[in-house]
Amino acid sequence: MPQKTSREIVQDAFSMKEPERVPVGVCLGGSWPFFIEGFTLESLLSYPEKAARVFYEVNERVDADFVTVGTGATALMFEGLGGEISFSENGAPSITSILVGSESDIDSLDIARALKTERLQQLKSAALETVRLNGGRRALFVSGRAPFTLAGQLAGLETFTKSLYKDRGFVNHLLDFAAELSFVYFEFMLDTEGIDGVFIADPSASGDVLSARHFEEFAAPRLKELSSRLEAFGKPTLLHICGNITKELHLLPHTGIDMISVDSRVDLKRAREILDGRMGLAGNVHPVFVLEDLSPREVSERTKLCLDSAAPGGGFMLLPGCDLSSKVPEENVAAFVKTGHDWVA
Amino acid sequence: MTKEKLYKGLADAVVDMDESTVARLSEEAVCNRFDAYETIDMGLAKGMERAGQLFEDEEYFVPELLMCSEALTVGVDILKPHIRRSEREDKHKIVIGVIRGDTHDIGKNLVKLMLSSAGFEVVDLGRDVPTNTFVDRAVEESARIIMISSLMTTTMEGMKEVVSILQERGIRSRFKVVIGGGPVSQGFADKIGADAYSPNANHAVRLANELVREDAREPK
Repeated sequence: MPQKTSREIVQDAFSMKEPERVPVGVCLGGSWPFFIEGFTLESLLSYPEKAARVFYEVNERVDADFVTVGTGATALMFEGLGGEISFSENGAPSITSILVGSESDIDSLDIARALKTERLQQLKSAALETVRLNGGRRALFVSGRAPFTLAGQLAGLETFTKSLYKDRGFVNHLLDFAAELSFVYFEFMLDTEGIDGVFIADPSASGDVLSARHFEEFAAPRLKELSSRLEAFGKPTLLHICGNITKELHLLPHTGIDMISVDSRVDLKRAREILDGRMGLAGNVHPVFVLEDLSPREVSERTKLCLDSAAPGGGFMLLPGCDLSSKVPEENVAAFVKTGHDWVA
Repeated sequence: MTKEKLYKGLADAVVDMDESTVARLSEEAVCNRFDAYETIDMGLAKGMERAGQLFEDEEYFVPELLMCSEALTVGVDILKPHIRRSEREDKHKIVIGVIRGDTHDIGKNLVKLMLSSAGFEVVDLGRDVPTNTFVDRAVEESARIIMISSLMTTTMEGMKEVVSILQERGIRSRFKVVIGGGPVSQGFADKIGADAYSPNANHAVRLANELVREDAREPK
């Protein structure tokens, strides 16, 4: 029987099947391939074809099954809305200004402008080129932000989280806008033939930031709304939330998201028990204390522990617990991927 | 109302995020000529300390701690003008900021507010702070503690640079370097040669107090 492609193996995991081997992804945000090749994201944005080639070649070299495109998109959309951003030498661009200071600011924002910036168009061109290079072999997911996190970025997380107590009208109004922004971005990127799924990051809905009550009231319904709207595209959805979200895990199957990627702080075995086969699970090798700091042999040992606790039975994808820093050595990433590929229950 | 009852009421109101009760009781303390410094210390700051403990115990989260801080600020604004000059003692100074490349400052802001309510003078460098700036400002301000925050795995390396700069300039022993933030750990602090790691805002206050005491014991 011919071996399945990486793309098919990822699809099997999302279908909650036990794939012929565990699928592995390397980047959550997707900047690491640029850094290890000595480029900054800013320098590559003007050259979509080169950006795609650099990005794809690294993923191919380490043999990742799951690849995300769209790193930096949120900042570029904020720039389109009139916000200020700054590029970093070792990470995705940062948003440095607050766009929403009061409720009236929300209505003055024009979503269409968010998508019309030249740099976002270049990012999409890079995604198109990545699709071409991939030729359907690996699973390509478009990455973007969830409504709760976008709302926190629009108003500033401090103002936004205080408003959960002080001004629910403002919070809901802002979340309505953020939900639309999140959806139109994914819609814009999914217009690209050859994108296999959606990767939604919701770092501000972190279990370290919010109580389970606030998560259930404000973050989860917006994830449900987004996943419901994305159903029309027929693509699987993966969600990543930072921090310890053990107390929120039971809520996630109700959002309609297909798979949750958890931070290294979550016990995978416990997560598996809570989810009980109702959605897929991904994670969670520590990106710094394991992937950056240890030797390839130690990386392999620690990766096996993750696999042993969560991979049996399928519906699992091996991922780092958060995004990789520019200092993570390629040989460690290669050891991580190989361990995943070689693992047997 | 007795002083003790008023102090407890203020502390409870801070924990309950109840700004109007904090305002009413703070006004009452002023009318009754209770010592303003003591009212802040025994009432408002005690409430914030309890809120910090609830945060550490994962019963309170970021929104709750921010709301407690807002309530505390309402009281401090009323009481501060009534503090006697002799009670405005020299405070221990701490330089704090979010490392270069990282704009997530909510954790740093929580640490800052807890330190301020515990009586430290906090020099806030903001976010996306260049590594040299931590050192330059700590020297300028004659601070003894440098606190650095990072929420991103991609920016943590900058913390190591701050320690290296202190070493290169031959002033490492003049400062205690404390690091914190989501992806940071004690192991990382050990690895980069920081003096301490703090997992949360409440712990940061205890740590700062310990470092100040340790500093006082060390021969100069």
